[in-house]
Amino acid sequence: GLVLDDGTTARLADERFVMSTTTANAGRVMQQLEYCAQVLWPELDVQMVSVTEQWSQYSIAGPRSRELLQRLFGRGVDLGNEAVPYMGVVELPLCGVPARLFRLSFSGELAYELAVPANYGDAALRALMEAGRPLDVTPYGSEALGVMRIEKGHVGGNELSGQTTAGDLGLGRMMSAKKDYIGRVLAARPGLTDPERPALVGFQPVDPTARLRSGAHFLPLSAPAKAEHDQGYMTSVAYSPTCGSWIGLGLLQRGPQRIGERVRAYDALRGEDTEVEICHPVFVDPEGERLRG
Amino acid sequence: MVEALIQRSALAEQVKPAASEGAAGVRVRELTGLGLASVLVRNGRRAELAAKIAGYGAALPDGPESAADDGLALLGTGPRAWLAVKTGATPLWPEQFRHDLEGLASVADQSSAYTVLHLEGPSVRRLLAKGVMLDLYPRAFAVGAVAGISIAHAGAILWRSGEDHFDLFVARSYAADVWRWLDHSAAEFGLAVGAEANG
Repeated sequence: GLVLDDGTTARLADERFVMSTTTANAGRVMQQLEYCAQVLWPELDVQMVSVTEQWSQYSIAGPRSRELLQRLFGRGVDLGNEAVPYMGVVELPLCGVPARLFRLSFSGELAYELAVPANYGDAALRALMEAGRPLDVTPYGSEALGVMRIEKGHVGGNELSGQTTAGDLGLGRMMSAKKDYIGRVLAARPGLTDPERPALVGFQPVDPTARLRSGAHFLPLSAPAKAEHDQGYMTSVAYSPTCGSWIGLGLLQRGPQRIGERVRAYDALRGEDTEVEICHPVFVDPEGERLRG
Repeated sequence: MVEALIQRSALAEQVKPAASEGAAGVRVRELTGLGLASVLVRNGRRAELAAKIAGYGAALPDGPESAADDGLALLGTGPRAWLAVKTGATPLWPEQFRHDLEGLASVADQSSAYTVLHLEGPSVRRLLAKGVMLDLYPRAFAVGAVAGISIAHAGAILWRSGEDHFDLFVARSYAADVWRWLDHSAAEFGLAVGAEANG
């Protein structure tokens, strides 16, 4: 009933899927899959193998990402919105080398991931930078990615703590009401469906120049700083250039029902006490228009 | 559009051909141009898969060993799993292989997943014994033997590919670390590094 990990699964063919996981949990997810195949359902005809080492994969994001890829692959290849729709995947050769193009986005805009065999990873990255030069392409790293995923309310390792459920993280609608799945029964235990469980929301400082701290605990404005008044804690923070202030994600009791309220973000470790406003966890493009263009 | 993509070894920065000082107890070179594919047999199709592989002039070994003709080797890596090793393969060979084995086995391209080091020389067994927790004495690890191992904390497959030589398939992202281990561990025996060569 608790979230183990977060990743994407792509269906390449009727009987072929590729699954991605977080780096830290790759081994554990593989173990879980093997456990299911060997112990729970040994009668199923299914094979699995790690391909982590095989592929170099690059994320290409931004309003001109499709244009860049078109320049890379050449005019003859259709990369339009119908050929490669949001959440689509295609296998196609790039200079005689097998490649996979996934349309998905961790940073929250029009974005793709291009996978090539790792022996060609260096060459592919140089080719991407060359193809993107007229488009002012710039490499971006994990810090920028971290800011963007917080702006989009995408959960990461801080939220996937081993103590949170899909419901806590605002992903309850991904849990099917129609079919069975691993974790369905235990996820229904009263302790995991208690409406008082801290749930994911966004935070902005009331003073827009104030810094936010992950690990800060939430207290009602009027309550003394004691554990009995603890309502949750801040999980991820970043300075958002788009919002012009620090922003945060956190787990707060009945958070989604309290949008607009203010609480204290209390950090005894660093001696900070900041008034924050509860807001929707998606700070940028909440309708997802940029994703689907 | 991009005109061509050139391969680059995981060891490109570190490894340059070099003779040893004095006699070389160990000679190593990286093998390139290999097509690699994991082959996992589907339920109840083993006999058909074996027949299909026989059609290539190779065979499907039953245990942790290899069966090879001069172009294709199958290394037993698990109860129902093999690593196919094809010399002189194009980058699109694994896809073709997968189509050929459609319905009999699940095949995945692993051609970039391993850095392959070919090791030989009078001290090669003593060198490997420093990092591999297996009995590599010839009667314990016969010609053709295959083992999934950990070496210098990295996952690898060790194959005794001939009377006097071994092929070590190291998980690509650990190749640099294993090379450092190799370089240090082989120093006392004298290490000669050959140029990359097609397998």
